[in-house]
Amino acid sequence: MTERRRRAAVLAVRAAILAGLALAWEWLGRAGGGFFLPPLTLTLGHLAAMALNGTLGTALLTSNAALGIGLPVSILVGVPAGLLLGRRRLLDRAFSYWLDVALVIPMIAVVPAIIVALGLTLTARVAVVMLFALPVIALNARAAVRLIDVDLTEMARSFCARPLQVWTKIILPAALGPLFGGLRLGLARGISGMIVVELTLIPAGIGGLISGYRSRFAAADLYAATLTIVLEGVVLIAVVQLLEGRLARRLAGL
Amino acid sequence: MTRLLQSYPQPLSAAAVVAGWELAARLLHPAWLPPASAVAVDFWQLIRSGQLLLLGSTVRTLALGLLIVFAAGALLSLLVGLSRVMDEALAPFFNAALSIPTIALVPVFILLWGLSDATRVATVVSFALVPLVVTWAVAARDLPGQLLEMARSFGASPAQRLRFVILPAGAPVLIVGVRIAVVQGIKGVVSAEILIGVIGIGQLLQQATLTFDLARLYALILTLVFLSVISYLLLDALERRTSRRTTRD
Repeated sequence: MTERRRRAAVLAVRAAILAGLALAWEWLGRAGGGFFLPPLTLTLGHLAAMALNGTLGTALLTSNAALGIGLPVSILVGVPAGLLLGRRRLLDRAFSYWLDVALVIPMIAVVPAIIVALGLTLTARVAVVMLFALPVIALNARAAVRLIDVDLTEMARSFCARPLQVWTKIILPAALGPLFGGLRLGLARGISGMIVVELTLIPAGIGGLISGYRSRFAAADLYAATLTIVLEGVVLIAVVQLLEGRLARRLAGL
Repeated sequence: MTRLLQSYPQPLSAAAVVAGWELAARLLHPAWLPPASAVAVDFWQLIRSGQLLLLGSTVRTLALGLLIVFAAGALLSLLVGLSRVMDEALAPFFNAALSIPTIALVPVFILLWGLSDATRVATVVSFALVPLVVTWAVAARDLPGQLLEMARSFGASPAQRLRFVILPAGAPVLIVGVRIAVVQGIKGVVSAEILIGVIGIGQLLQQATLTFDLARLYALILTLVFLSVISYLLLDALERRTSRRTTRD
């Protein structure tokens, strides 16, 4: 198959999937009466109405306050912690497995304990975002620093590079890929954490909207709010991937 | 002391955390932190009273969901692994699906199927399917072409090629996929039960939170931690064994 024909086939398959999903949603919604599954067009109408009357904007701002604080703090704490674990063997063996455990367990079950300790506050929501985001960020920073070429750092040292120079010239550039991977995964998990706490115990923001619509059986509004948070995840992570590509190209001198 | 620390860093750090927890709870009496010993006692009661039997339905639903995930995952990853067009065409969809906070879909499932098993099964599938396909596609993409050709020219049937060439060659990656799916599936079923609030471990957690029974709450969290860590470790050990065998042969 020639390259152009393959490209066309790829685009055709993508278009077919998107169209199939949209048509199936619309048709199922119309056929089923729309009580449990409203048609796509109706959902999009409600989405537009919610966006225009400010409901969505307010909810997104409230929700993302927790993410906006929790994610930067997770990076500020997680990256240095991970770098340290990657460089200090004993600390690593003593403590890194806690981070693995944090990735494996259903963190949603820990949320009630956080709420009991911190109350129905923004602090509690930030703490939950950090519980979700920090372990993966720290583990990726640890993996990043372990990928460092020991020969290179040794050479730099024997050419009298200062410790700070070794970090900025050799360790950080090599570590960039895994660090961004951690940021991406941390962001995805952080968004989950943000929504988890709102769906379970603190009915604020977009999760609060979702819970409210569900208990009132406002199906079209429920689907619209869910679509919003799904789109937020997809868009934010696409932005991080874009930044990562840009930065990698710049470092490679292209 | 240092030598002891160097030989057993992991149990020692765990012991230090538990001791610190117990001391902090006993000395400072924070209203939100029950002593570790009280949690241990309650954990024992939880086991003896048989309340954990509620987990039976959780495990059954998880198993059903995972069966669906493995079947659908095998089909999708073969599709992606065997056709370069499909691989390229589906990549952005999988990429987007990985960025979705899947937990946000659970209220929709609850609206659609209420308290029935379908809600929990759908949650398990939505949590586990895409990570599994992305992993298994790696194995499907680099099938051992030369070995397959040799098997074919020696007259091996498709079933025999699957049994004796494809599965052994892909075993390590396949088991990594299983591990990821099981971990994700546990998260899914627990999330669904917590959001539904009236079945399985979700019901127990809800009761403990509403009655402010903190020892029970922590005991339940510990139960979930143990169960997920143990299933992870079992599958991790299995993966090590198979990858050792594959590299040795």
